[in-house]
Amino acid sequence: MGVLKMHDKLRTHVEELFYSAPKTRKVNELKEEILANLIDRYNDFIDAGKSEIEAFNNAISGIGDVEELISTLNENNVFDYEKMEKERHKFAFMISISVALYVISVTFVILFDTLGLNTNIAACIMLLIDAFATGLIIYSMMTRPKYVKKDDTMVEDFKEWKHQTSDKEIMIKSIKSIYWPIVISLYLLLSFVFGLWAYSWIIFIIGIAILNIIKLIFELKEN
Amino acid sequence: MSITSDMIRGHTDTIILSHLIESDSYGYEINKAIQKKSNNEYELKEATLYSAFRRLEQGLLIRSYWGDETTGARRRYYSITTLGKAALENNKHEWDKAKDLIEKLINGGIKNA
Repeated sequence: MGVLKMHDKLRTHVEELFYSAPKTRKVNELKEEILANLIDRYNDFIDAGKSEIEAFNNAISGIGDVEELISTLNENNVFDYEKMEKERHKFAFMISISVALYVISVTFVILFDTLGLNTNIAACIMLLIDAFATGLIIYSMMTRPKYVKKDDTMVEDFKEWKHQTSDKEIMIKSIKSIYWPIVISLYLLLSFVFGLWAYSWIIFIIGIAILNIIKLIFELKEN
Repeated sequence: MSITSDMIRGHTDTIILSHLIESDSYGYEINKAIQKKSNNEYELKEATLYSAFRRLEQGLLIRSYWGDETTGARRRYYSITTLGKAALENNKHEWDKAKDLIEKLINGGIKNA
């Protein structure tokens, strides 16, 4: 048997040892390191006059138990696909509920109007439901788990960075899209129901201030 | 023999560091040196050796870099860090103390009394 063929045999053996290990950069490097040392070991046995079979067997018997080694490599791997998938379902569920609530809230106004009841009360109920739905969306956004690096490669760094940036942008966008309709509703409510036309416009200035405070909280949280 | 192995295993990290303070080295070479120094009485299992490397590297006691072998597989070399040198000094000191103490406790301490 040729030397290269023997190297291939050793390589196959190392691959088999790490069959159950995750395919990360760290594991690949460890496999390469083990193989290099194994080849050296094998060559030394050959130089000492052993047969190819003997040298191969002696070389691989020196590796020992790699189970513990694999488990220590797994410890750094905090990325859990199953958990991620569960969280994603939970998140989608919360968003769906919130959107359903928005739609339902409008039907109250229509219903009260058709029945000839006080539409002001309907508007109040609508705002309350909307506020609850908004709270639900923000809560699920805040508690959504972050993307955790699987391995210390450039690609993972990039994924983590991209996830963080886009996450923040989506979050602020969705807050804005919910926030301004609520401010306008409040403005109309205060103006029509309580007749506060003279002062109610102030709500827009306060609205801008509050939005900026929300943005600031995000910035601070990041640092 | 098994008691001796257990006792030595507790000092694997120190043994590796004391080899690396002489020169940078890679797994097989370190194991060969251990075998030679112990007159073929002791040899580490490679899995034990790699576990120790990971542990030491995570603790910043050693650093690793790849060799530029063109045939076969690349070797991963290790070198000791300043922190590793300090740890080695500390471990040597601890070992001397433990050695004296065990000597006193087991052999009655006639020499040092």
